[in-house]
Amino acid sequence: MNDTDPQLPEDVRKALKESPTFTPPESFYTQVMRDIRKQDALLRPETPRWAWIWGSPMKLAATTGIIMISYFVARDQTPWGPKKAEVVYDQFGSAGRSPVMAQAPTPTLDKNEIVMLHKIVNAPAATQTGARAAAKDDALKIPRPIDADSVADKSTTAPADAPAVLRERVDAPEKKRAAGAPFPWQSNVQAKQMEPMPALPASIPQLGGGTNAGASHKELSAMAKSKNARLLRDEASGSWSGQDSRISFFRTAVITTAADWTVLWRAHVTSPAPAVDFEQWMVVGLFAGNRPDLQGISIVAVQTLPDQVLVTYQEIPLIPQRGDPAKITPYTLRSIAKTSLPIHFKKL
Amino acid sequence: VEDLDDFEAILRAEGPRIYTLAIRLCGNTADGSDLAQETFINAWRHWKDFRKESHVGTWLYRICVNLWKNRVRYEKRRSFWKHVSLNGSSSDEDAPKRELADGAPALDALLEKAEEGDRVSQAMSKLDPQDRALLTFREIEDKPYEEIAQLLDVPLGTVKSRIARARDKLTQEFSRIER
Repeated sequence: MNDTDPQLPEDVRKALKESPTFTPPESFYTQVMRDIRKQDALLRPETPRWAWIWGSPMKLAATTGIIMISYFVARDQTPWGPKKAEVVYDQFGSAGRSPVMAQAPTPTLDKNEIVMLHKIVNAPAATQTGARAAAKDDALKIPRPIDADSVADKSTTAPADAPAVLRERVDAPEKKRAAGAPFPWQSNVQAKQMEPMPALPASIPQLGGGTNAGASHKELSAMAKSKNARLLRDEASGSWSGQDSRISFFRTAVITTAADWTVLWRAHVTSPAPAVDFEQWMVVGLFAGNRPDLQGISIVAVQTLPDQVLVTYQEIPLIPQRGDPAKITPYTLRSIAKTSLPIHFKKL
Repeated sequence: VEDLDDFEAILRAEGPRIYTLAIRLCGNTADGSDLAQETFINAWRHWKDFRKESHVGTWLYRICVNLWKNRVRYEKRRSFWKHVSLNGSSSDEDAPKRELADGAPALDALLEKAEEGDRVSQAMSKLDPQDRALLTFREIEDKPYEEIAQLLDVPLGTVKSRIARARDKLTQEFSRIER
C-alpha cells in the first residue's frame, strides 16, 4: 500500500491543499495571556492560606510549654507542691510566705545572734544528713564556723559492740509495746516514759534557776506530781522533745554555755529557756527540721565511750492521718553530764 | 523566555500556525481555539522542559498534537467523540443534546465563500478525529508517513492503511454532500 492508493479526487485534493490558514483574532491572544498570567499566579509557591491563623497560636503554645517544662525542671519538685526552699529557709524571716512560719512569730534575732546560733548548732549532722545540712548553710549564705570544742569528730567510728547494745536498747520499747505498753512518744512527757539511759547521771542535775532550782531528786519527784507536772518532769529529767520547733532544718546541737542555750532556745520556741546548770551539765539534741514524714525524733541512747560520747537517736515514722504533716518539726534535747569528749550522733 | 512579554512575542509568531492546526484537528473553530489556547498555556507552564533542540514552533506543534490526542482519548472514554450528525438528527431522541460546535459555519469566511472548500470542510468535519487528523497531516500539510506515525505514536503501516481508509471516507462524504 502506498500514498497513492486510493487517491482523493482531484477537486477534493485541490480544495484541501488550498484550505486557508486561520488567523486567530486578537481576543485569542488576550485570552491566552490572561490565562497564562492566572496560571502563573497559581503555580507560584503558595502561602498556606491558614498559616497566619495557626502559626501564632502554635508558636505561643510551644513557647509556653517550653517555659513550663523548664520551670518545673528547675524547681525539681512536683508542679503543685509547696515550694521547698521557702519552707526550709523561712525560719529567719519572710514568715508570710511559709505556711509553717505563718502561725508562729518570727524570731527576732540580730546578726550576731544568728552567727552565734550557727556556732552552737553547728555540730556535725549525722552521717546520713551531713550533706543536707551543709547545703542548707550554703543556701543561707552564712559562713559555717568550725568550733573545735563543740564539733564532734566525724571520722570517729563506733566501737564494735555498739550496734548490738544499741539494737537491744532500741528493741526494748517495741517489745514493751507489743506487750501492751504505750509508746513512749505518745506523750509529750517523753522522758518519764523512756528507759533510763546509761549515760544519764544518777541524780537530778542542779538547775540554775526556776521553781525547781536547787531541789533534790526527791523534792523534784514531789514537784513532778503537782499541777506543773509536765514542766517539772521535763526539767527534772533534763529532756525536751516535741513536734513544733521553729528550727525547720536538720541540726544537731551540743550546748555547753548558758548564753548558747538562751540563743538556741529563742530560735527554738517563744517560751523562756529552762534553766540548766552548765557547770555540771551540757545539752545535746537534734532538730529534725520540717519533716512531714515523721511523728517525732528521740534519743534512744547516750553512751560514754573511752574516746567519745555516742548519742544514738531514732526517727519515729508518722502515723497516717495525724495532724497536719506540713507543720511537723520534731526535736529532742537532753541534758547529759558535762564532758570534754567529742559528741557523736548516730541514727538508728 | 525570561518574562511574559517574550512569550507573547512567540505566541504572536506561532499563533496562526498552531491556531490553524488546532482548528483542522478539531474540525471546528470553537474547539480548535480552545485547543490552541491550551497549547500555549501548557507551553508556558513547561517552558523549563523545552531543551531548545528543535525550533519552538515544532515544539508547540508537538504539544498541540499531544493535547489533541489526550482530548480524543478523553472524549472516547466519555463516548463523546462518536460521530454525531451535524444536521441534528439523532437516533436517540431521549439522549441529551450535545452542544457540539458546528464546524461548517465557523470556518473561515474565505472557505465559506468557496463552495468547493465549504463542501470539503463539511466532509472533513464528519470524519472521525483520527481520520481527520491523518488527512490533515498528509493531504494538507504534506507530512511524510514517518513523521505522522511519530506524531500519532502508531506504526507506519497502520498510518498508511488508516490514511487510505480516511481518503475513501472523505470521498464518500464529499460525494454525499455534493448530491
